[in-house]
Amino acid sequence: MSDEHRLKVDWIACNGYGVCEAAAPDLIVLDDWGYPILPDGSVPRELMGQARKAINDCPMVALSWENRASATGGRLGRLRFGRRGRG
Amino acid sequence: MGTTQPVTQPTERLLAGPPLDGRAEALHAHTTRLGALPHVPAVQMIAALEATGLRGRGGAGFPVGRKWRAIHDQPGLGVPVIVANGAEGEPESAKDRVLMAHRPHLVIDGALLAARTLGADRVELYLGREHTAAVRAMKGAVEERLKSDRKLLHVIEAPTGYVAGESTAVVHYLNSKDARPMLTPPRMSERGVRNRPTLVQNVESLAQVALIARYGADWFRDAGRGKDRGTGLVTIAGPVRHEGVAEIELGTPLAELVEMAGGLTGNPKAVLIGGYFGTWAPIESVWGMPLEPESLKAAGLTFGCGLVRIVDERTCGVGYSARIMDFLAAGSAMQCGPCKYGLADLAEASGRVAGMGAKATDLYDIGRWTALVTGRGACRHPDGAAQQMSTALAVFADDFASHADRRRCLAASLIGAYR
Ligand SMILES: Cc1cc2nc3c(=O)[nH]c(=O)nc-3n(C[C@H](O)[C@H](O)[C@H](O)COP(=O)(O)O)c2cc1C
Ligand code: SF4
Ligand code: SF4
Repeated sequence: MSDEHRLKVDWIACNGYGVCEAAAPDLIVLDDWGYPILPDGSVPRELMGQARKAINDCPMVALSWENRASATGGRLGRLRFGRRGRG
Repeated sequence: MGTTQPVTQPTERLLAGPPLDGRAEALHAHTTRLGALPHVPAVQMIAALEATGLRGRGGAGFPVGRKWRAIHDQPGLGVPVIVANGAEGEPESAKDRVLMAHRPHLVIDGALLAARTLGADRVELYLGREHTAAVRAMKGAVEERLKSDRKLLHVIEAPTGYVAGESTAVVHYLNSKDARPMLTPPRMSERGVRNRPTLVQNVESLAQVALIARYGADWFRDAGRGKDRGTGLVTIAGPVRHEGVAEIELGTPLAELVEMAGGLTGNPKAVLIGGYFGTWAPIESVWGMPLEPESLKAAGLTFGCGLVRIVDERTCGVGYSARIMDFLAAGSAMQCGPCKYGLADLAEASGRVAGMGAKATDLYDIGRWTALVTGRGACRHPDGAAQQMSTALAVFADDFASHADRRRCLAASLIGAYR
């Protein structure tokens, strides 16, 4: 794909625990109901670390990369990401 | 909502034939009038659909030909399934139930054409169970068909509810009796019902296909006054002599539709076009508006499911939009936070404003929350709900302000009933 790095939420899985905000305070804010508001466009290079942390920390595996995630959404995104992260 | 009275008109194609008196057209009458269902080769059928420019009539307006081609051009993913979507969960729309109740064989013809064109071995007729006349007519029509066709056709009574007609909810229900939307990718054109490529198509869209197969794309495009061609079913409600379902040439101005419906019986103020997911507009700005997807879109409005709900000056727009919001909030499948909590808060805040009990922050919050819930659910339910609310906020701005600030209803004051 391109070097676009967009985050997405699986809204059915997300429970609004807000762990993602703590992991990525410069990237994610919570709305009135405690659900994450994601950045509009691509995650800037300098915040990639925060984005990765948010994906890995989310207890519901609800966060993933838009272009890499698949049907199972978060989980696959996370596994793939985990491998990338180590490699 | 008592708007099932059909309105008969000259530009009729889908509704041509015997009077719309509550009785379904029988198969022999249908084939005598229109001829037997022709065998059209797949490639030709899809090319014809593309040439018509026919858009889906379930609300989203996606081009029908493109949807069929996507499934046709990807063999190897399994035998496709066709779903005729007759859920019609939109409370004020009656066009699908009127069509199914009177012309069930047009819908079945269209579904069978889809099955033949795409090589499907199953057709699910997904019918809102509360539309009893439509369900009865469709079941009766299936019984009249040849045994070979009957084997394909399965009537499924869909649960009542606004989101039960959303396409992923339809697939979910057919797979596991749970009519809640689900996350889509892998696309249902690849894996849907029984994990097979699935075509979900509104019943009116399919009925249009039944006529296109017989008369061709040029004939289809003969009707229409704007960019989108053909005819369309609409439901007109409000202060007109005959509320109900009408078939119009797409692009017919609103004023003319009102004439078709016997003229006004009150002083109109605003119109909700496209359904509870639709857009409000002040009457003067849309009186001459061609009712057709392209023109409406250019004006920031939506054709949606063809609902044209007029409200008169004595109707409180704040109360009307708040009641819709309440209905849509209750209709959320409660799976996604912003939809579940956001729509509930929107309903409560708009209800407080309508009921003269607004908090100081309510108007501000309503504006903010409509933006906040948009695009933040697994399906587009919150988007549609927000669209209705935000256009109401703009069109009834004075009424909202008066309710919130002076605790006075401008519409009620017209009829001398101060609250
Ligand atoms: C909340 C929601 C409810 C819907 N309800 C219906 C419905 O009752 N009937 C229908 O045909 N389409 C409904 N739709 C649209 C379907 O998702 C789908 O787009 C449509 O059935 C496809 O057929 P078409 O392309 O012929 O319009 C709904 C969409 C949403 C977001
Ligand atoms: S951490 Fe995960 S579950 Fe919690 S709010 Fe963020 S995305 Fe939702
Ligand atoms: S957005 Fe709302 S209606 Fe759609 S799946 Fe989520 S909770 Fe259900």
